[in-house]
Amino acid sequence: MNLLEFQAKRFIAQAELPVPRSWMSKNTAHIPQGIVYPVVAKSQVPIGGRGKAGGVVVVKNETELRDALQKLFVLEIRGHLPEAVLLEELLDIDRELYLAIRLNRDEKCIEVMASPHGGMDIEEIPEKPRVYRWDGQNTPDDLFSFLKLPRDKLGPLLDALLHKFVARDLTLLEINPIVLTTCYRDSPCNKENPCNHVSLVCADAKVTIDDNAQFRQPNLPWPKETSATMRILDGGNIGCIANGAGMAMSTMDTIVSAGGKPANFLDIGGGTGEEEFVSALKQISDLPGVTSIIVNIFAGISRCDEIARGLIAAKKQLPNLQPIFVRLEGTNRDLAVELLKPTDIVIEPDLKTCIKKAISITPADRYDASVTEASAFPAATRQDPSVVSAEWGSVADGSENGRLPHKGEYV
Amino acid sequence: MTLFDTPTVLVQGITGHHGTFHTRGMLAAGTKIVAGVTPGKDGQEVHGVPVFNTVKEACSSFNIDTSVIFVPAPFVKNAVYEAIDAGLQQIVIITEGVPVHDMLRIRERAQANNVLLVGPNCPGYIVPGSHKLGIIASHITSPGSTAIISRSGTLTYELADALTKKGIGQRIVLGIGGDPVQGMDFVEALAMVNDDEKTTQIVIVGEIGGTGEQRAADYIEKHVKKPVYGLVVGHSAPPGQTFGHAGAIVGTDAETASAKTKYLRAKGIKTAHTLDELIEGIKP
Repeated sequence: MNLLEFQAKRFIAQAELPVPRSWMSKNTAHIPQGIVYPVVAKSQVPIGGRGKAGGVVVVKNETELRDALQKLFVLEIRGHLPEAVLLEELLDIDRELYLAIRLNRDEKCIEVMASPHGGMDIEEIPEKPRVYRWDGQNTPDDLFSFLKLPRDKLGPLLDALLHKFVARDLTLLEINPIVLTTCYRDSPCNKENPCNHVSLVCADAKVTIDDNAQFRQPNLPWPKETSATMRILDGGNIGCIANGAGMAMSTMDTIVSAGGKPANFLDIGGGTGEEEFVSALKQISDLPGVTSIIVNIFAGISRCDEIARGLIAAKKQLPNLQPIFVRLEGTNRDLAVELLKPTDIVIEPDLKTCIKKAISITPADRYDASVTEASAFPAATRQDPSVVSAEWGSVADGSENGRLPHKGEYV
Repeated sequence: MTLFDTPTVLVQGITGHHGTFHTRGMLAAGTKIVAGVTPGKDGQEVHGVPVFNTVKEACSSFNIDTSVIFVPAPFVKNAVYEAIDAGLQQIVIITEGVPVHDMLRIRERAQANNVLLVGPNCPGYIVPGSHKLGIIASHITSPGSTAIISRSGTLTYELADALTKKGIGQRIVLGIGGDPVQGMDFVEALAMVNDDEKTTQIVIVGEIGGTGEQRAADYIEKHVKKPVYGLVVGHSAPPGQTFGHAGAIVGTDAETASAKTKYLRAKGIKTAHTLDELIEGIKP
């Protein structure tokens, strides 16, 4: 699960790294009270590349903010509309650093990545970031000299972040940039009596949490239970169901190599009951643009007769079901053949035949052309604001007119 | 201990739904299962196999070297620690959904104790005619000399079934699992089948995510003289989303199916584009 920026920043602030003073706007008409301009208005979408897509705007006053909100709430960024817009104080930037902690699956370890050049895409950083394998205890001196920061400035903070990374089951924590600024709010000085106290502030953050850890991280904003294995592919017209993730990917690949366009990925797993099978078929059937569905099952532990029952039930319950082409092999195939005999459901000899038949059904066979065109692309997904749990504060509860709490106000 | 040595087996989580069901399957495939463990169920029997409260107690009655783990994900780490502490040499984790941070620690401890670790989130393996540790349906396999190593479950069954029907028997059918951090990876598995004299050829089936296939290809180029066939699935998967397996996600270009296929081919491995192509290409 990826956290949204404001959720990620709460996480960071809990590790005692200041985050900018901020407010939250829930919709185009919502101007939170007490804003100190200028602010940076940032679209809260669960995907990268936001800045380049125009999802970050600097505004100097309320008029500009109203304009910006009008634009940001309808600006779709790689298929996502924002759930909210974060308004942050504009920082006085001396220097920007890049810092990330990640789980390296190939090396099977936790690593710290750092660069003295933050604020842009990691790929575009002129000097390659350095990678340090974490031994679970110490952070190396080289990291601090590379960032040109004394250890006592960043060390305790990095230790706290590493501790949190493990304790909260993170797989990625990226702060880009960490802004170095003087006379910030945690500074002992003020504007009239500058003392050049350097503060580190987290200006943007990405946090990814291991989905497998949900059972022991109950207070994170996990999405509501959905059919997690369903993936939608843009522009496809052949729906497909298989048992097993590898089988499902293999089915998609075989469709493509035969010149077809798969509409989705769906692994129904082993031992699927009638009800689950019908709801899986319905999900695919409801996808815009789907003209036929391929069911590709190899039953090793699971059983073909179960699938046959699911198919029969689906035919009965889903009157608008597209043509289905079934390939069924493995345990209890004979029973499945018996069950399907009195129906019009045919078991094809192999996957190739299914694909050939599916490709022969063009959109014109099923849909009025204008309807197909209109519904060819699924509407942008909007995250459900209610999924944000209590500890993380839902956007709707926005304490003090949507203002985000600052560091130390919530632990 | 290697994958081919005949193991004496303990099943952790034997009284659960999956544990019970697959214990029967493993026994039917000729596996020597002598004990099961479920805390609080001491004294029960599952398919004639005695159940103990702890691994230690089971080990005091039998000379056990291997554990197959079916316990729920939150308890896997402690179950593995218990098995390692009791001195077992091989552990196969079938359970899906183990947190990746737990796997980092499990791997570390297994390595430090020289324990052979397979899984998690995998079907385990079968050496047809000898033993089966896990959930692979034995009736689709047949004894032979081709080794299958795969990240996927069902796809592996389909491949084994097709080879069996073609008259190509298998020395081993091994699913290493689809999680980002596993016990045995492609390279470790390859090393073991390469050293096995009865293996004459090898098939590896990979998928999107990580760069394990590239490492496998490097290893094959350097060390493996036996013929190797390959397949990487997920050519049509867009980046940034997991496809069923937690580890099946394209982050960088190297993690795509096409990059992996290209890499394998460049190292001289006959790599198919689809399963049908692979099945057609494998010679007896």
